[in-house]
Amino acid sequence: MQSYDILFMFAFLPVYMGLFAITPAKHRALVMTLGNAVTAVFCGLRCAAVYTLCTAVCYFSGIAIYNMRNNEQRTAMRKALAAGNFCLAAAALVICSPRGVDVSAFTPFKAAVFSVLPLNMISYIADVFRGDCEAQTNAAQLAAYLGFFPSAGYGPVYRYKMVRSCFAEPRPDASKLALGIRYYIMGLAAYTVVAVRLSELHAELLATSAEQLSGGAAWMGTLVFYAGFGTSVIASLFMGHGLAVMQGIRSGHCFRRKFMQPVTERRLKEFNIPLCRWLKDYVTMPLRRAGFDKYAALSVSILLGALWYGFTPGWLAAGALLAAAVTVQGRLTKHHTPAEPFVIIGSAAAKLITFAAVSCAAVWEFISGKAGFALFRTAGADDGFFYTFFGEAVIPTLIGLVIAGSLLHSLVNRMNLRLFKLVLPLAELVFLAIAAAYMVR
Amino acid sequence: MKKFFDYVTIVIFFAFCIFPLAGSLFSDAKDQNDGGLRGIGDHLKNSFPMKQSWDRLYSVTARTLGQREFYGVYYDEADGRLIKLFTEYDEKKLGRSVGTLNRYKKQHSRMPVYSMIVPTASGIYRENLPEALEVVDQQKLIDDIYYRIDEDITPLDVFSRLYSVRDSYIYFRSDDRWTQTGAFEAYMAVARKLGASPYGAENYDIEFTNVPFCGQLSDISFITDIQPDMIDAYRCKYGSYIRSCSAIRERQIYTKASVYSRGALSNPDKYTFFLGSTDYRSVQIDSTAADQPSILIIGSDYANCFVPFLAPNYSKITLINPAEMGDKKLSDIVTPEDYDMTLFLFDTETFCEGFEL
Repeated sequence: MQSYDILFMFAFLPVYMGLFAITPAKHRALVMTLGNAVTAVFCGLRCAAVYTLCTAVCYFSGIAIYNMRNNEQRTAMRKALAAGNFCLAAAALVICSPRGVDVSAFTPFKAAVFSVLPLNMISYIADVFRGDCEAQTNAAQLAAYLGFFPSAGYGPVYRYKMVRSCFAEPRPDASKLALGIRYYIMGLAAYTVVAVRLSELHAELLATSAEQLSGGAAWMGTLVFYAGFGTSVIASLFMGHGLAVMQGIRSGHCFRRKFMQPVTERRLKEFNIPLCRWLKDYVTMPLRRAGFDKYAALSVSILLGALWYGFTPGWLAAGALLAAAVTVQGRLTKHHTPAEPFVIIGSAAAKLITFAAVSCAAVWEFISGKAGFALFRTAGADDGFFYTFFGEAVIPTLIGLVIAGSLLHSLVNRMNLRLFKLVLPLAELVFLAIAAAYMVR
Repeated sequence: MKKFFDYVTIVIFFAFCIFPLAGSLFSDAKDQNDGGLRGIGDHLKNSFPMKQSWDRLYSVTARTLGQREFYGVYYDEADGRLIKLFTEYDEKKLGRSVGTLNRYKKQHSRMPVYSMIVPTASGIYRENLPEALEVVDQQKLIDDIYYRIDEDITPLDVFSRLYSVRDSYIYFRSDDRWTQTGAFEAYMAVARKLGASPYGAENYDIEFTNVPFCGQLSDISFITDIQPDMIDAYRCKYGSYIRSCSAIRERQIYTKASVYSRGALSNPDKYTFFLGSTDYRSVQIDSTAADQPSILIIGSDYANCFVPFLAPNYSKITLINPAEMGDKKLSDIVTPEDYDMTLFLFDTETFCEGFEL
């Protein structure tokens, strides 16, 4: 049961929020745990079992690690416990992935359930191990954090130390509730109307025989993939962030992309801020403290981030390309303040690099699918398919590019906010109605 | 002001979420779905208040975004019709159908056997469909079928005739079957080959039933803003040739004096106007043409609106629908030797699904 399912929005959510509202704040963690458990059960008994097991192991391990913090003789055991939990997290990622043994976090357009559970486990154990916070003795609060159902897809990924107080006594007020609803509606509309349609178009393209496919259509497909992937992630983040804010979980923006962002590293960071912060805290900084070069540590993080989106050679290539681009750009501009022309050129280059990186994943989909090497075909095939595909794909792709490029976000920042506030409730209603129409069909 | 908008947002959102849930709890909509998560989700969808309006909103939005194909149904905006796409078939199942025909001919070698494979709208309007959809070339497929069947079975080509009158109302705009006008054109093309003298259009009055409807393709694609379809009934000017029409469904027999059933126009499936239903096991029509031969027709529901044209030419017409035979064999239902000829009448898609007798 995902946050875009009809059952979630019209059955689970109103009942859950009603229960949440009437429960005293200090017991709301129990309600959140119940919500997580229900979501896990709907995802299958396997997910429910993994969630229960991981929570139990984390609970006792965290307390043990925390209690042994001042005992130098138990350092090896502390490390072993932490390492064991990290291995369990990796196993949970494999078990809960929708393609099972394929070890993919999720396909570009369908978020896996509980793909964030392993990251939350690592975050909690690492924070307790490092002494950044105490071990959680309230099992309900820990369970509420670990399997937090709004984050069950693409995120947002919450670092334990930043949100632990929110899970103690969550107290949303009317403004947070309304803000959360707005985020959720926008994410839902973007996902159901645009992302799902783009994924259908992409699947249609992959199912087309290689002889039918011209190079133009295949490359159009990579654009569809890019727009669809970006929209899926951003829509999913909007929905997750909205649901979390509705429950009083305090967190910053999930993405904040400037249209003219010349630095690739910052462009990547601003695409999925919670994930990037998680990677920085638990991968980049530990590697740097271990003596790794800044760009080497960053490259490892970028690779892991890319693989989290999709465990395929295509995504590995995407991560490698991005890591190389970040390293080269960083080293070349290390001692220079970017001049004005560089901002424009750099922004275009950063966008192109991002597109090229995501295209690696798309190319892999084509090569591993029936479409074969159509991408490398420039002539010979009839372009009737291209024109038809273009006609069906152009509008959703353009909307997807606007969403993925955060153009909307930039436009909103530049708009007259007073006028926008009047239009916003109407826009919400329209988006809600359209999303509902897509869910009900 | 900001707080006001916040409260408005909260109230509208939760009212929107709760209303369908309440509606589904009080709904007496019966679903044929099994239980479980999917069943609950389907029940919620089916009992959603004002579902038709939401479906319409979906189809308008999807079409605005450039979508033209909806669950295997293509919306031909230029012609204002919905076309069920026929994009693939199972070669083994097709082989089974061909084998059934050939075995039947071997078993009844002295009886004239005819085969009429009718193209669906996807075949006749193939040029209107984008190449990317890769619909089956039904003309080629029908030729291939006729090439594979026993050479003693007479193939009846209707593709050319239907293609030449494709601008007429020969297929429903929102249903995947042909109209009686289309059946009449096919009748005119094949009557002589069946050994009958065709009764031309001047012999018929066309009754327009004035019951507009949107067929099953509209339900699948959620597109209803096309010109509604209408059933037209061809009635012979010189009186009815039908003495009785008996439809047999399991152990029940329904006998009427006409092949048309006005009462069936109140059914959701208006095509049941022809013969009263589409799920009969067999239908026997006795005509007043006592000195004419008898014909056994084995086929899909495309035969339903074709049969009335045969009444002046045959004393007894029996239709068998292989899809409704269940566990029974043909010999349990009829004795083919009691008939003077057999006609296999299928639409391309049903023929390719495979059937046995």
